[in-house]
Amino acid sequence: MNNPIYIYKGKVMPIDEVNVDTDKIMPAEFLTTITKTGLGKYLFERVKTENPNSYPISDPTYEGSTIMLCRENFGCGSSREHAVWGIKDAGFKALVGSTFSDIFVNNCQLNGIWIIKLEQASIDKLFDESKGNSIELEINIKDCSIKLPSGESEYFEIDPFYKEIFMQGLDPIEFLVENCTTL
Amino acid sequence: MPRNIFEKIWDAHTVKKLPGTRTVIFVDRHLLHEVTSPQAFNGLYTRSLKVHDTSKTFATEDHNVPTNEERFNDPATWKNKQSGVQVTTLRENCEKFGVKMWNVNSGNQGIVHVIGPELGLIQPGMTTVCGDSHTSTHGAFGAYSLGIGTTEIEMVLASQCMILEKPKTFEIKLNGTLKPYVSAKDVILHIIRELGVDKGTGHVFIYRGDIFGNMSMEERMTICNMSIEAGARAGIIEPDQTTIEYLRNREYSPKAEEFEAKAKEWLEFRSDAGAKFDESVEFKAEDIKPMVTWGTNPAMGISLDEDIPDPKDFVSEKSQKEATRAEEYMNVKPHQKLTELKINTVFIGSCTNSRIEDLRIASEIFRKENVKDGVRVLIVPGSMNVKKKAEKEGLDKIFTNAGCEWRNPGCSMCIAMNDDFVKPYERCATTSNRNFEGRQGKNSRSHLCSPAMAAVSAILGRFPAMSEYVSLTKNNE
Repeated sequence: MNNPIYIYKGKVMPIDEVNVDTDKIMPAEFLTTITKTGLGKYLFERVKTENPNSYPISDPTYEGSTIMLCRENFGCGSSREHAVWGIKDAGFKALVGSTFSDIFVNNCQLNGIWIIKLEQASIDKLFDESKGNSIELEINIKDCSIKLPSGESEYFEIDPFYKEIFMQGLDPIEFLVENCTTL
Repeated sequence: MPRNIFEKIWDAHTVKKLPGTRTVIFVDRHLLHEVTSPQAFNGLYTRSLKVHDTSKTFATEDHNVPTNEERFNDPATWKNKQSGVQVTTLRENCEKFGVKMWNVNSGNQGIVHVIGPELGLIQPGMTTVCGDSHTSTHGAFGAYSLGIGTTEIEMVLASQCMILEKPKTFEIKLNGTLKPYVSAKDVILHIIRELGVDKGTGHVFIYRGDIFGNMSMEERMTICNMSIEAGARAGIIEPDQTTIEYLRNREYSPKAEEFEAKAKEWLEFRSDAGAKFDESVEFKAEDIKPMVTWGTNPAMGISLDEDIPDPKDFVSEKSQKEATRAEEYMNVKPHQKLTELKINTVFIGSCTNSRIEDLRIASEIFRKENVKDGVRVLIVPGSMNVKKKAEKEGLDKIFTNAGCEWRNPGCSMCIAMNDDFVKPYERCATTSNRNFEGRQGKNSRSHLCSPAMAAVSAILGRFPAMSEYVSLTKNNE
């Protein structure tokens, strides 16, 4: 993979709840799978019917969204990578928010889901703009910039390790096996 | 340069510093269970790799296994077929890759975070990982112990290493004297309430002070277990003579002559005098009271002296919205008294509180009173060894005579991946670690608490008032 696509434009689905835990993202009943595929249809399985305003998975306004807009501490709780597999399988390519849980961030990065952290104020503004509207964002991983609906660009910091493995097409497991197992 | 305990462990396990912020860290112990491992083993198979070091790799089955007699039948015949498949898959993978595994027919099976310590697998100064966020439990041994995802499991199986970003350290100090009716579970629920669910993100907690020093190993495990609920991937309590004595004569502890020498090395994994921490907070033990959660995350807790809060009193619009939603889900009202909440189910179990000391405490209550009519009580010992010990002490008879169900070890009603679940809209007083929406079953309502609190709520059919609780738990030391 020498020329990764590092600019990505997509429609945004806002998940307007703080502290979204991975039990909500992927309930335990779906963890009995022995593969990584097919979990997209179970994304937010219970909360999407109980709380559709906050989890508008079925809302036609947000159909075709590939970027998830998140509130604070998204992905907290259980380490289940199944939550990320579900997000990926449902077609999402990036999560944009202010803070995410540690384990969840690692799981996303290892599955090629971009985690973009912006300032709280910017995230709040994006939530206001996406209420009832389908907005678009353009993410540039190489420049670490994001183009907002207003046309302005904001810069974000990206984990250098994550950026490297993405841009170089590296496999961290291969890297470890080749470089670290003789020690 | 004085170093804190975490820095010592990190330095001792650094294999390679990578450009940027990441480091390759060596893993001393890798624990596995059936839910998060299948895809990792598949990955190994696809890469034509072996498990790099089977001497450091141990597995059990816990999340899916039935806690009744069905578990001893062929998993292919279990009512929950997919659970059976997952368990069989782990057994086959362990066989294929040469990994030591304790299945339900083994005398050592149990919840992974209960059997690891029992077997002496985790020792001071070690790095430990498992595909489960409550791996933080083993920090009780002065180890750096963290939960990992499935791809990271594959990474560790393939190379015995992980690529980690070095967390900051967060010192949590607790000194003073705890009230006699306050338990380790109340302490950690108090701490999580004070800090909130994400204060620990990017940090490892280091619990210091007299209170933690005076705790038994099981109590320390309860504390460290719930570090993740405040956002910290790992939590550590420094090793001392209590740690040494616990580890003496355990199956995987160093033997006789080596033990004393090893014990000396272990005690070097303590923070140096003058060591610094990135953040520090201090709590007063006298402020801590028996706790119950009212909402849908572990920080939403109150003491028995308080009423259900009013969302309007929360500081921000977002937290007001969150609290309103939580109260709606839990069917509780602002200013409602805990004593008004009718309990349908009580669960005493989970990696937080299912060890022998927890069961003894619960038995003190059930020795005196029976379960209230209409309340279902499920008591699930954390491991076959805990079960055997409890039965030797006659605790099982106390439980069943009082009207409780006595089960076989597993994660059971904590995660409700098997037949043990809370019915929709019913309320459960539970000694587990998460009260998220639907955690214990669709539309279930979970109230986290200590084993004593769970037992008291079982006999009353509701939560107690503070004075009731103090007198009902009076003779329990």
